[in-house]
Amino acid sequence: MKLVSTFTKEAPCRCVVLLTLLLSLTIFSPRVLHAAIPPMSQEIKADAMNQYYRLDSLLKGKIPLSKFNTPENVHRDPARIVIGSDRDPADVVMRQTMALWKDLSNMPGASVESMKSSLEVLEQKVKTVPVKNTQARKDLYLDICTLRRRIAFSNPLLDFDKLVFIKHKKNIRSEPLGDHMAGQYYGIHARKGGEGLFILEDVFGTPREVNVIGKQLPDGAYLSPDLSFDGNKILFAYTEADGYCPVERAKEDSAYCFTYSGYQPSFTEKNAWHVYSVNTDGTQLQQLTNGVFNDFDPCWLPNGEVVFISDRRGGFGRCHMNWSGGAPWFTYTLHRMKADGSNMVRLSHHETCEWQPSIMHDGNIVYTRWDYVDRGFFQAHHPWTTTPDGRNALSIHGNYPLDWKNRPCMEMDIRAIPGSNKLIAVAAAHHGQTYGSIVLVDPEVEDDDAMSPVKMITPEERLPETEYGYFCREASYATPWPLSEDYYICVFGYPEFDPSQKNVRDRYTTENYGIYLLDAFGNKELLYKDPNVSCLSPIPLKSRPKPMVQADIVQPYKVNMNDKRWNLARPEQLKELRKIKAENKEKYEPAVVNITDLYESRHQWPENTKIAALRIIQVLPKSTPGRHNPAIGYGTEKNARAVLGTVPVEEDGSASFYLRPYIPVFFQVLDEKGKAIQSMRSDVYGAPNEKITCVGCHENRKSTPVPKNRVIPKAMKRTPSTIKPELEGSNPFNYVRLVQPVLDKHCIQCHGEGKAKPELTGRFDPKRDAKKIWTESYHNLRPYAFYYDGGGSFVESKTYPGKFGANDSKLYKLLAAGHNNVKLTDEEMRRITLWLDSNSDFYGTYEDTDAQLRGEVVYPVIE
Amino acid sequence: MNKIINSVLSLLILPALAVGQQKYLSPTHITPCGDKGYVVLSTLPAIAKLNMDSETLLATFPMKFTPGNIAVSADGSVLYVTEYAGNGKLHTVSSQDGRILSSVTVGSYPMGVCVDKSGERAWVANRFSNDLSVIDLKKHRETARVPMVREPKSVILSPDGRTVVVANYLPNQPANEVLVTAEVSFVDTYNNAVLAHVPLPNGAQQLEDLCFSKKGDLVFVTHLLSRFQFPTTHLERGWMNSNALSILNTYTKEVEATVLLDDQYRGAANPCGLTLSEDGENLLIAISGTHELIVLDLPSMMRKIRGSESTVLALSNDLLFLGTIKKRLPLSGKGARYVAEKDGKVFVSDYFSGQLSVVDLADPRVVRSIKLGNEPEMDDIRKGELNFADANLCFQNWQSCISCHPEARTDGFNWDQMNDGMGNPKNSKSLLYSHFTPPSMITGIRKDAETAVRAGYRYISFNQLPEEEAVKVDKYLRSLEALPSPYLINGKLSKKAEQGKKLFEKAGCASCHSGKYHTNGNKYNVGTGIEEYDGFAFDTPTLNEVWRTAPYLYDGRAKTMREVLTIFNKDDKHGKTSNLNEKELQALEEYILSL
Repeated sequence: MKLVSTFTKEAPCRCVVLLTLLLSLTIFSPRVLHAAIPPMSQEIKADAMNQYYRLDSLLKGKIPLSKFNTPENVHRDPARIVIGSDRDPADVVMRQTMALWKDLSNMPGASVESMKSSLEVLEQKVKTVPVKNTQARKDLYLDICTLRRRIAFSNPLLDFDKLVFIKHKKNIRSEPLGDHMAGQYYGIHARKGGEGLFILEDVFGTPREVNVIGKQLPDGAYLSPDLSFDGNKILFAYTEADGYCPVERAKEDSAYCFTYSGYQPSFTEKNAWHVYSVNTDGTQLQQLTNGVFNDFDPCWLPNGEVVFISDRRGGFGRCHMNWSGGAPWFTYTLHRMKADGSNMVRLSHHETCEWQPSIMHDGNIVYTRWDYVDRGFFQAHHPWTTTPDGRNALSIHGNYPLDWKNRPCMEMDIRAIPGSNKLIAVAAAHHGQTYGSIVLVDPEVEDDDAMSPVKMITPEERLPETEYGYFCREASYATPWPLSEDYYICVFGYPEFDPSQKNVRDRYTTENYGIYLLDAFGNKELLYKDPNVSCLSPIPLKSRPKPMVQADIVQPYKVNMNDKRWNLARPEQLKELRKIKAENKEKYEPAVVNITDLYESRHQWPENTKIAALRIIQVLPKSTPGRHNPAIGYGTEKNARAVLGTVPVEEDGSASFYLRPYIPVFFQVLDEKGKAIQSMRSDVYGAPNEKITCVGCHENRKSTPVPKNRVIPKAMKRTPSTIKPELEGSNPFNYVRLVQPVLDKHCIQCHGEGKAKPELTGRFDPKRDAKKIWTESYHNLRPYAFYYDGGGSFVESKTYPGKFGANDSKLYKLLAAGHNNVKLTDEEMRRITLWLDSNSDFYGTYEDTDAQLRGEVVYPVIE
Repeated sequence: MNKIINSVLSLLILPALAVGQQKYLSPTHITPCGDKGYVVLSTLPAIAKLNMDSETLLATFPMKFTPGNIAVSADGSVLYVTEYAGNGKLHTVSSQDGRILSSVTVGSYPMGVCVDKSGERAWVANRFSNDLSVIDLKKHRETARVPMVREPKSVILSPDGRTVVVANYLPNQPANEVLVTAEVSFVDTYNNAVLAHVPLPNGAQQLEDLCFSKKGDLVFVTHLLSRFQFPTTHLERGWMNSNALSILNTYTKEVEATVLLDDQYRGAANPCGLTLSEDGENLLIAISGTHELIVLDLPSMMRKIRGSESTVLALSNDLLFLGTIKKRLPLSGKGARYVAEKDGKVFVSDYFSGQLSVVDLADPRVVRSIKLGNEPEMDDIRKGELNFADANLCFQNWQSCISCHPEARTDGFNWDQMNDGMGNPKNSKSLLYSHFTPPSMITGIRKDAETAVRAGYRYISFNQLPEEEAVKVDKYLRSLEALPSPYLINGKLSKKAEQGKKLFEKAGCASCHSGKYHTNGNKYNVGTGIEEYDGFAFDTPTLNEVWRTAPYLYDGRAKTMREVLTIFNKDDKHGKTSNLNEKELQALEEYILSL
């Protein structure tokens, strides 16, 4: 009512404005799509009021702003959310609308000049209408919102009138049931009912949804759509979301189901995600992947093929608990296939999860990679890039943070921004789903291992987990689609308060998300909302420029389409897989690793460092489900390893060697005694004949290669070295084989059972270790060893040269200084130092620990 | 109205020029004077005269020769135009009607020219006689010839008239050395003495253009920085080629700094023309590979350089150094070559589009263009030439084929390509006639040039180039013709070279270097292989245009042809030359270099 009266009061002025607006739109508008912008509907008004109350809470300090709401950390105008001079939401919205108008008036092709006078009128009112007239201020607020919407829709970047989107229900608020960065994408956790793939027509007019799939698929869950560059075909993931299909313990109808206390969830076609493609008009629906594996996050490559995420990689997450009712969580990584689903290959052999590939302007794939080799689970899930054939996986920033509270916990849903070198991402929680705060990432800013490359776009949303603490549930924004550095289409939802939740941190939750037009000035325009089911992943339905098609230089690993899911904690499966592997020996040409100068490092080498060799260590993916099953070593949730051996390093710091392809490995730089000076805490992998070339440990990533006083690195003039195996008992790692013999020979005379402490025998103490996990010697050497922990503790993510392994351990220092009459041969000493350099692990493979305890060599079958 | 008249005029003039098929305009150098601007239309050939204020074409002066560059007299009445030919000339041309008023003979293939304020003297950079001509304009004659290093292309005069600076296009060292880099020469205008040949940081090549700072204390030069010490395994972070601007101090003759024009994730391939805005605030650089204009905030850049503690070497590797000091602006045509600026308006010649792009520094988002005539539609040969020069066909735009093969010839460096293993870098080869002389590469590892072209896009640009585009590149390369050697006299062999021809037969060179292309296409062990190439039979390379493609032999260890015939042929396995006396060696060398 008030709005109508305002209209009539200002009628002549408004008519002129409206007429000019319509006129200017028809004459000056590059396309006549938004000629008729209707007045605010009830729904839009309601949303404007929701924003009002939210702003009100922010102003009154009831909702805390992000601590990164500072000029250095916010994109564009740092004062855009609320500033000291804002008295009420009308003040805020006036400021934000003015900023929007100013920006658009400078944009070629925008026609907002005609709205200037209306803006000025409102600006005057905002100054004069007293704040204590709450109703008048609310009306004023709505007037500004009405005008703001017209201004926002006059943006020339809105050169489309349709959107592709999905409806998708968040997983329920329980970590075992998928409220987790990794768990959220298993089909067994998906919920259905009202989900689907849709097109929103007349987005900026009177939006209406069109169901693309309709009855072609049974009711199920939908995820991750991607539109082809020509705007004609959509890729998406779908599952019938059949749930857990729990099978009673007695009925083992499938040898390949997994047992957790109580439940035996089985993985079927009906509860896994599969990739589909369809034309935008709903024709030619095609299922591209099937089976019991989860295939999702499909993305069109410039060459017409599809990159996607799949848990066909094999292996489990290392840190997931054995929940009652929970399921083992599989590792999923980048894969690729042709547009008809054929020729499936694995691009990434990384051993923990990767998410959401999208394409950069140079044709590379950008994605989120969880990096957690010899460090904590919490430290790095940040942007990486790789070529379409899986070469040169490189971190963009954030792989070695100083402190997890200083920056987004995760950066997900990363996309390149048109006309910019920057990326947009969702700052999300590790212990949560991909919803959170929207950030801008600048790959060209020097990374201070904290916030420097990152700018907040929505600083009224605190960074999930980083600022909220563990296991937060409140997360407002998701799936931003950038139109430019300053304008985006995204989803947003208001947190709802549920006082019935026992757990305080579950009381605020956001469940219903709508599609919004968002800008860098704090303005949000609701485009569409379904009050029953959340919307997600809006994509403007139009063509976009296709990046250059890169040549495929290498052959990625061909996926075995007949493969099963393996749980090598089950002896019969271990036996079967070993048999299969023995019968099908895969032989590949090696990759070649070329390092031009190991001395090139961002961090000081200790004085008089002489690098003699490089050690190559294979990272083994977890082949048994459940945390600490087995406890590989002192470090919680650690990765198992196989030390492949060493190669020589030339005088000038160069090295060149053959590397088995398709396995993740990392390197250690060794001194003349074979002790590690520096150790890598990430991994690399290559394909047959790939030339993996890098500089050193670790070169400046913002630098071109520095020419040295030589024509060519010495190692590259000769044939590549073949890796020379390290001491027996290290490939794969086995403490009982490698270390215990030395202790038995030299130590237990004094440190035997019942003798001087610490006891260093190879026995199991029934009181301390009834389950016979580790020997007494291993338990007792803990304070003297060197290891990185995993788990929730934030382990220092970067290793500094000299402060690692044997060199930094009490045990080595003690022995080197001379310990009574102990005289170790060089080989025996190296056994000790090799152990200390190998994170002081106990086990090598995750499976068949009994055999390892007996001192047998157990080779990994899942690599 | 003016615009219409001018278009009509140009439409009338141009058909008169076209004898037979229409020619491309290929605009290059832009020389401003007052409100006028003169543009070299290098392949028409002609000179376009423009009004820079109204952005209109005033006239087109057809030329009977290929113009190199243009200098203009202080009053704007005459133009000094170099004739880019074996018998090079400097012509004085009327700026009113384009008539040649007088001519002076200079060296071979003169390109750059500059003239002093009083119009008394001019300096001409003779590209292929490797020297600098000093011309007395009043007396219409050359008064001195100053030796330069290699392919002097660009020459500028300091504001105080005391120093002439020349950019030598390519490096002159044997390619198998640690330091291989091009040099900038400083010449004293009083006595024509060379003050210094200043080497740029290791790997500098294709020194395209020079300009002075307003006060003349600094010289700026655009060039590539080739990372030839590294195997060509990838492109990321400028691993193969990066693109740079060097700043030299006019007085100390030292390189103050070399900064990279690239971004961390995207190169600025093949920087070409360079000019300083009139107000001295901005350096303007045409980036021909990515079709862009780069604007550098000069005072901020110099402040940052002088405030930095980094060494020249460190700065020359820093991809982030320029940051927001640098702006990259897309232009409206293809092949941005040279730049001129007036009153905050920047003009860039778009070589492949027959036009100038015009950008207002105040708001560069809208790019206008000035058509310089009737540019015919590109045929496949021309499209192939564009593909060859287009860095958009290269992953992350670090380079184009031009980067190692300027004008489809050679950059003089050794490169360690992956086609035959690693650790065995070999000298870049000219692509001239490569389609007629299979196999390709000095080892003959590529069956033919077509294979090599496709391998180049795949393994060097990492581009899955569609076959029809590769076919166009083949057509372009097939269409290339050798430039007549600067050693020829009026198009004929000199007396010495005639004698040398006989020796060429006698010494046995002609037995393998036979036929139209001076190669019989076979592989021979001529005793030149060392280390891993000991005893190796190399493919016989063509000798056509060999005067241009130093250094020689598969690893570029022979700086001159003389060295090929003497110190690298002690065993006479590569022709019988050990018995030749000094005169004979000179004659033989002169003949070979005349091909």
